[in-house]
Amino acid sequence: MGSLFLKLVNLSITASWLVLAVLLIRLVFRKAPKWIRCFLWGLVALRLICPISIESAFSLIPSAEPLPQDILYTEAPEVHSGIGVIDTIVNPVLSSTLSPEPGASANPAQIWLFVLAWIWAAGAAAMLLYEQISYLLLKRRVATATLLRENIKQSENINSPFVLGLFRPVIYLPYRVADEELTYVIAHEKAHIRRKDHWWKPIGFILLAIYWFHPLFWVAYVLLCRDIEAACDEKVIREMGTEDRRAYSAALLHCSVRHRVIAACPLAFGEVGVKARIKDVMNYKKPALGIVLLAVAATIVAAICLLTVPKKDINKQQEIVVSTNSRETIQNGADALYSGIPTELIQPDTGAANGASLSSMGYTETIHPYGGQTVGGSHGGHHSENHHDSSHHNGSHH
Amino acid sequence: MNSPKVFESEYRFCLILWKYEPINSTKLARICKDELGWSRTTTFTVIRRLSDRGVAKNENATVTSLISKEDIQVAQMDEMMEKTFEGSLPAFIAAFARHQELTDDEVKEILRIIEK
Repeated sequence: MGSLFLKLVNLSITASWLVLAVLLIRLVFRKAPKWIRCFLWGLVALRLICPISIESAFSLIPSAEPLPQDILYTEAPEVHSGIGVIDTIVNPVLSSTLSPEPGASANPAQIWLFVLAWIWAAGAAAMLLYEQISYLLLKRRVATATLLRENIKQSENINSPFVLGLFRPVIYLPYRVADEELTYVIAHEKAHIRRKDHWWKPIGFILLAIYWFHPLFWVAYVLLCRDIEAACDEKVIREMGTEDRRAYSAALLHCSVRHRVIAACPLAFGEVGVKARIKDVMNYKKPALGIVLLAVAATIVAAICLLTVPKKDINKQQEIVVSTNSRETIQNGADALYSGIPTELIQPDTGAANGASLSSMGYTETIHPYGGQTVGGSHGGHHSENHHDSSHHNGSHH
Repeated sequence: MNSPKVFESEYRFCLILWKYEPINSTKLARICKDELGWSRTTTFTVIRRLSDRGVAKNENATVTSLISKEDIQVAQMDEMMEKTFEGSLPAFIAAFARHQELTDDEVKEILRIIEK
């Protein structure tokens, strides 16, 4: 489970760049049609679901694997976030706390990963259980709902309309919806079904349950729910005149006034931000073609640059091996004093690393891909003192 | 008069029951599936709930009602009058008359009912 967890953490980090891009595009193209936002969230979902990454030269993702899989076994655990500053700060801490102690039976990185992976699993299980239970409770609550027509049922146990069910979605309405509002309410819920929102929302929630440890995805889920509603409204009112829109808004408002019960259920379509939605409905104008095209272009660029990961360079990989080796010698040898490896072997590398650290702020891949990491190495001397101490400590136990 | 509370969905069920009673519970469940979209379990749950409240009874797999349609309608009307018209019959009639065009015959009929 440790390596699965590590994989998920890596995916979550690469996907969070895409989430940030979606947030930006949402902000910049406020006037663009709302379905584009839903499409963008779809890209995020794709990134989170798809375990293999396509490599491309256009990728803007700083690192394909910020936490390398070998973090468990390496003697010098470190992150390759692709951002020099982060690596510089994090790696010395990591290597001083997580490096395996000689004599200790387990590697601290492994223990940590084990504990974190179980915490993650418990959290994900709790969220999925919550979803299941609230689904079943809601289903039981509307068991006595009576058929109005086709797939529309009415129940006295609910206060606002929603769609429930994946394969045979049913629209549930309260009994007391005025006739003149009924048409609009049904139009809205039917639009949800046509848009397959009864699939998108649970998928979103399941992904949130899996990636619950990343705060950005909570933001993403809340916004997804809002964007789904907005896009659905848009679909319904696109062809409506002002009068119809006014009536539609009134229906929205009435359904939300008595709303409370459904809020607890992540699956059903409750009302989200009614005020904002009514504003959107009343101010709706057909988006200008230019804006639509621009937003689509931005989406495509985001997809190409952030859905893919940077190309793995064979040279770079070799460098990882080399630098890990040199780190090894620094650590194992505590400045080569104990291992007997001549200091000259290490010195040049450390020197180069210091040189790289100067440019780590303006870091680009061409200068020195693992500049930050080797800077960590220069702290290795300091660290190895700790190391030395602890091995002393261990010694006294023997 | 104290009629037990019957919820909207249960009332729809009762409409079916009054129409077909006495009826075999399995048959009733089949009709409820077609007309209300209820599962078998739901139908039986509702039958049990209504039996507990003395609205219907299920004996030897035969379901019958214990309360007439009129009784329940009156009970519901009472409740609505209490809730919406603060128990005032004139207020209710006034609202009702304003909403619906009544023929002279209907007005006479209503007056007759009121005076009775």
